[in-house]
Amino acid sequence: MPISRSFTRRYADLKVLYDLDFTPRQTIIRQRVYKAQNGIAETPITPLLQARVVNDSCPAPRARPFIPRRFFAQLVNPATITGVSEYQALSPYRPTDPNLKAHGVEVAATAAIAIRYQGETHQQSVSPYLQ
Amino acid sequence: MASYGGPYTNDFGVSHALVQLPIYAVVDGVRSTTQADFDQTFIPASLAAVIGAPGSFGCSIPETLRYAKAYYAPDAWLHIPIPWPGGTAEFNQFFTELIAIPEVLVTELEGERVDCFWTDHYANQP
Repeated sequence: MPISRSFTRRYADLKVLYDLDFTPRQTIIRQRVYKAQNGIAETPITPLLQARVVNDSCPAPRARPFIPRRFFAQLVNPATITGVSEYQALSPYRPTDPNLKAHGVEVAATAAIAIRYQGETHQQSVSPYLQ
Repeated sequence: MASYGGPYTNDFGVSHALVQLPIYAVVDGVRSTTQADFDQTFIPASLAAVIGAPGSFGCSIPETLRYAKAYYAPDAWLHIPIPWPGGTAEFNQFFTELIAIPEVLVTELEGERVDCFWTDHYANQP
């Protein structure tokens, strides 16, 4: 199969209600869902993530002052040079919530060949969350 | 670098009683050693209560620990590990105390990183 050098990337944005590490704060952030050329979603959107999707007519917020905790799912993709694509599924459940582990299990149970995890990261001052 | 032995609970709820919690400075992008008495200025009381003396024993665990970046100058920050996961009262307490230290200008958070093998392992633990 020839390697495609460039093509239009299809995606949709979901709005997700997200629990920050700093209790009891919550916010709404954007989950980008990448799609294959035939329109099928490639980013693993599992039931626990779907349960936090906010359905209203407002557009998804664009900027956010932090990087959410997320699972990286690696999927086989012969169209890329390495043969693997990595998709990010943010996890809206904070570490004390058992749903964080359950969400990891769900992401691993998709077509992913491997998943890894990174916790919530703030590259700006965290003091506003503690006031 | 001063290393301290202390507890650590990862984001998946797995606890270890005695883990190496290193405190060091990064000045202008270069990692550098700090003296124990320098560290004392920046260690919040809640962290001081659970860690051992400088150089005390701790195991290493197979993940990159979550830590606070405490800027004490515009180009210099201190790496301070956080033993408690987000969502706990201790986590908020740690940051509340750290921000209150007058020498700390800005505090940031770097989340823990778990590789493929251990993410799968922790997520599937009962």
